[in-house]
Amino acid sequence: MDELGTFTDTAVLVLLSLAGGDKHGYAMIEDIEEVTGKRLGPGTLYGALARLEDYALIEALPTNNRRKPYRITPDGRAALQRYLHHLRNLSNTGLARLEDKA
Amino acid sequence: MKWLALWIVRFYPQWWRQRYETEMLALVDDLSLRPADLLDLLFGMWDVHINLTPSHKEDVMFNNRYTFTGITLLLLAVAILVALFVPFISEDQSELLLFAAPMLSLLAARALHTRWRDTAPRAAQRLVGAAYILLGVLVALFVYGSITALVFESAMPPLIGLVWLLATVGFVTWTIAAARLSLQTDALHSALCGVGFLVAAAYVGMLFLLFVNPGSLVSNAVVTLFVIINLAWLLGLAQTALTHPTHLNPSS
Repeated sequence: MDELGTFTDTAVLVLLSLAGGDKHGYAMIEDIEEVTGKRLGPGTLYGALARLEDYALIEALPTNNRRKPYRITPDGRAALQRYLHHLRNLSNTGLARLEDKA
Repeated sequence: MKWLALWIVRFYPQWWRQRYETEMLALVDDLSLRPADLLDLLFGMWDVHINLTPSHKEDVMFNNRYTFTGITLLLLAVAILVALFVPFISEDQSELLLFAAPMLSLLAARALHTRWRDTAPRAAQRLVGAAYILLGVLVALFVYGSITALVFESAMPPLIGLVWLLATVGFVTWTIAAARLSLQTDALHSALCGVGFLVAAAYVGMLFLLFVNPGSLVSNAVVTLFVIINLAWLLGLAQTALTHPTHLNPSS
């Protein structure tokens, strides 16, 4: 997901949120705030949504009362999985090194 | 606060608004807006203008030659009005041409670009790309030069040095950036959007300065605002260069 540039963190949060089910913008902001304690602004969220949609990692569903829900695509799921595995390896390596030094 | 958010959303690019505006406004309705959200919307607008391009989507904004021509003509009319009332270099009104030329060039190059966009051979596209660079430089020279000349006459002494510095740095930076943008037409579109903002801001500033007492608190506030816009533009360019180097890389 390097191609997402500075929006990688936000993009991951959006993918993470959508991995739990289809959501529209407001539901995503609430879900992300609940999980991470971080409240995304509307500009940041839509910057990430546009990029994720461009890379076909998410897709828009039919509009429901002005609100457009989004769904994570199989590619998005795979990208998120790769990223989280990478994060887990990083975390394991870091923890192991810290324990070695202790 | 909501009306301010709705107002900011109106400044997102046309192609963006066609795709995302309805749902974004619904989100703004749902949120308990905080001041930070307004800033976030502003930065989001900047990000979309600079970093996102509609090339992969329907190229609404720049394929619509009527909209583009209308905007350019409007700018031209404002330029002529300003030129009539502000003989900023001398009293000679033939300097009207100085105001009008960049806008006319923009119009001409845009017409060329629209006509040749899909059919022109690579060499011709390079020519159009070069014309865009020249235009960027001309517009930047026009904006920075006229504002600096005008402000030099009216700003309070402590601001003059800063404005001159900003004008010089801004012009040089834009020139370098324009040269590096080269044939990245999408990036050029974004860059022209950015310059468009500057032009608009410059005109607003100039009109304000026309009608307020030179050297007053208000005119200095306008100058300060212009300096902030300058800084934001420069920071935006730097941010683009750092985070999306391919946008500034002619060979990519």
